[in-house]
Parts: sequence; structure tokens; C-alpha cells
Amino acid sequence: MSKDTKNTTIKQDPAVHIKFLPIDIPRAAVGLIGGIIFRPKKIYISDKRPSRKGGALVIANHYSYSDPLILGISMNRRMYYLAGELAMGKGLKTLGLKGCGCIGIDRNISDLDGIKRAVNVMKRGHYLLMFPQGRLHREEEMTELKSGAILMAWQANVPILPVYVKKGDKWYNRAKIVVGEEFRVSDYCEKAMPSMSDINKLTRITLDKMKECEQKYFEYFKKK
Amino acid sequence: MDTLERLKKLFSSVYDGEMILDGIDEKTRVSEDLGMKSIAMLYMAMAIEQEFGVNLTNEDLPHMQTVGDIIRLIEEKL
Repeated sequence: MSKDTKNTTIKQDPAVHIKFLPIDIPRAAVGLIGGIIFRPKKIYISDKRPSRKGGALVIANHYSYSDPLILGISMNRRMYYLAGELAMGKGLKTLGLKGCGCIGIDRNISDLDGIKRAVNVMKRGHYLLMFPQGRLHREEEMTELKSGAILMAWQANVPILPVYVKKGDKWYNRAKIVVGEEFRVSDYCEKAMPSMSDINKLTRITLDKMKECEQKYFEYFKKK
Repeated sequence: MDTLERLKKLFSSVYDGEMILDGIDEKTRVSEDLGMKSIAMLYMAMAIEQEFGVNLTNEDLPHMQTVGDIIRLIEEKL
């Protein structure tokens, strides 16, 4: 089993293709409206910017229901979203959310099929946004992450991109985003297959990296 | 190497050699005896797919109660 064999079966999608128009046109419209409402301001934690090509797992804190929209319009890439089955709803809502790139995952079971769909999206070269805290967390301090994020990034062989997002306190305040440095599971674990203790260690490292983004947010935006 | 031995090797990798492999046989229960709960089970399923080149689905997971069940599942899908 080799790290290099994981990406050989799925071909990367082109950045622009007619097949994405049914997704990209509504996204552009929503993005335009969202951009006017939230006017997101994005800063980077360092000069090392995320790669412009290839898939990545974007992990963010979950402060408000508008986080996916704010990040979707700010990251300059076609973004897919990991959503709980409950959030996906039923009928037309499900159809609409799937059209916007949401991938449902059932948190009540070990949803192997949902994880595979999410992994394939990243293997095809897209960004996938997930909130590894699991649910909405309005308290400031991040204390715990789900380790599923690490599993997915390892399986897709893509970098993890930590971000911190917060919409404005008042309706007229701009949303703020801090983009961290991307990293790979292989940066911290040389084994082709990380053990459960490696995964737990990487989950703690990921939490630390998200906290760095949070700290940068307070340093940069709150001191102004 | 037979399926049981390959599976034991996989358990050893996933648990960083912390798991005592000698006592593992087909009757060993995955959850109760090996202590594999949700995320570990999910990881094990992914690892099995990679190691054996099989395709597992949500429907297969509830049937993976014992090591013997996993072996039968792998051999059915090979």
C-alpha cells in the first residue's frame, strides 16, 4: 500500500467545464448577493498561500449559519460542503442543497458511503468545507474536533486548510476570515497508513492550527 | 499470507502495535473485544478497502461484528 497509489483512479475535474454551469450560475448569483451583504475581508496567517490547484479539505470553526456562504464566496474556488443529514432536510431542500454542492453525511451511523463521496470530490480537485467541531459553536474557544477530518484528508491525499471565520457582530459589519497554512497528514506522519494514535495526534495539531487562525483574528481585527 | 493474518497485520498498523494479536481469531468481536467504536470502525473499513482492494458500503458495516464476519465479507467481495 503506497501513498502515491491513492490518487491514481480518479481524474481531476477541469477548473471550467460546461457540466459545472448548473452549479456555478446559481452560486455566482448567491455569491454576488452574499458578497454585498457580508463583504468578507480575508487575511492570511503567513505569506505561504494555499495552492491554486488540486483538492483540499477546508476546515473552519462554525460560528453562524452563514459560515458556509461566507467561505464559499471568499475562497475563490468551487467549494463543496459536508453537511449533516438533518441539515440536508428532505425533498426540494435536499435537491437545492445538493445543487449547491452539499454532500450529506449521516452522523448517527458510520457513514462510509458519505465519506467516500466527500473524498472523491477532493480527489477530483475541489475544495471541501467541513466544520470539524460537528455543530454550531458560538462560544469563542475551540476545544475539540472530530477526527473524521483527518481520515478524509488522508484518504483523499489532499492538504488540510484551516480557516477561522466570523460574520460581523452587527448587520453592517464585514465578515472576517483568517486563512491558515495548509498542511498534509504526511507532514506529521511518515507512515503510509497512520495509526489511530497518529490520527488523534493530528487532530490535536489541527485544533492548534485553527486556534492560531483564531488568535490572528483577534490580533488583526480586534486591535483595529 | 491468509486473510486472517493480513487482517491481524492491519489491526497492528491501525493500533500502532498496541493490540495483542495472538488471541485474535475468527470469533473475536470487533467492538467488544477489540474496542473498535465508530471512527475506528470507519478507519478499519477504509484500511480493509485499501489492503484487500474490495469495495465496502454502509450496508456491510453492521455485518462486521466479528473477525470471522470481516474475513467472510472480504472473501465474498474478492
